[in-house]
Amino acid sequence: MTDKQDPFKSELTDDHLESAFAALRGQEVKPSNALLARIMADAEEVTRDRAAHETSAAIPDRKGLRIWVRQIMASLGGAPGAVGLAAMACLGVGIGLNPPAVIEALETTYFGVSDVYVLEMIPDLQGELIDG
Amino acid sequence: MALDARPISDAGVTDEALLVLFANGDREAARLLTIRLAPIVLSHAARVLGDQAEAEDVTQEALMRLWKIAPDWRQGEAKVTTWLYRVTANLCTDRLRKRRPSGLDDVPEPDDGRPSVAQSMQDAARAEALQQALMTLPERQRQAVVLRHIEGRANPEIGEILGISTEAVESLTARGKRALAAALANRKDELGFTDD
Repeated sequence: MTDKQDPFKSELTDDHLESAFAALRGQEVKPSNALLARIMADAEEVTRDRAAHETSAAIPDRKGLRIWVRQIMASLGGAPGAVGLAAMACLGVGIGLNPPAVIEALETTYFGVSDVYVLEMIPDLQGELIDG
Repeated sequence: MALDARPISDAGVTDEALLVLFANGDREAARLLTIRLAPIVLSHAARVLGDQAEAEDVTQEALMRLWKIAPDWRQGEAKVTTWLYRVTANLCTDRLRKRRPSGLDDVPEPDDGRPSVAQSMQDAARAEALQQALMTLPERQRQAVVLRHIEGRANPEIGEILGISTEAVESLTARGKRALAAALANRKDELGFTDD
């Protein structure tokens, strides 16, 4: 058993290790010019990509607007739903501005009054709409 | 965003400030950061990987990640060097895990062309022996020992880099040093270590 370790052989002290660390620290690991050039090329590529991205983001995105409108339409049930909603909105406004006689009769029946009270959120708007 | 070639005085400008300037398109800031940080990253990667070519790849990848994160960098949260050490440590870990387990015989010989003008033959032999011994340590121990005893980082920062507590760093470096001492014991005379 010749490779058995000598039990009397002392291990390295902290000072020995520290001198080995110092020796390794002293071995300069210097980046080559080729590596530095590759790193700088990466930096410029990232800068160019970012600039291109920012430019494209600043231009209004027509495609994005179309997608947004399509999503709204879909949530309303497609084109028929949207047309129906618009028609009912117009009908509601028309009834509100010029209520038919049957509505006034129902008011008298259920509420005991025949006068219509209009809460004007925007003064004179109703008059302008009626008068044109 | 146009590239700006305005010169910057190197002295007194922090890495964090340079990174902000780079994010704003300053080419000179990128150059200064490269000059400052590439040697740090390369040195750490070379010590941990024991392979210059792989260390260069890791250096390029680590700095590429720095360029990409620059616009989102939050000042005051971490030092650029600490963040970069963390990225480098992780990249080294990934590469070491992909390697098959290696013995001492697989450790590459030191690069003869490496600059060592001011070093004595004995220092070169000690450095080579220590590098070979480092490669026998478990990866986390190696990272901790290199950061503490070669790069000279403080234990709390090493904990931040490796994602462990300061106490765990102390334990790792202590075990690492014991293992290195044992690994180099047989070469004590050859390396000129005397008991006096």
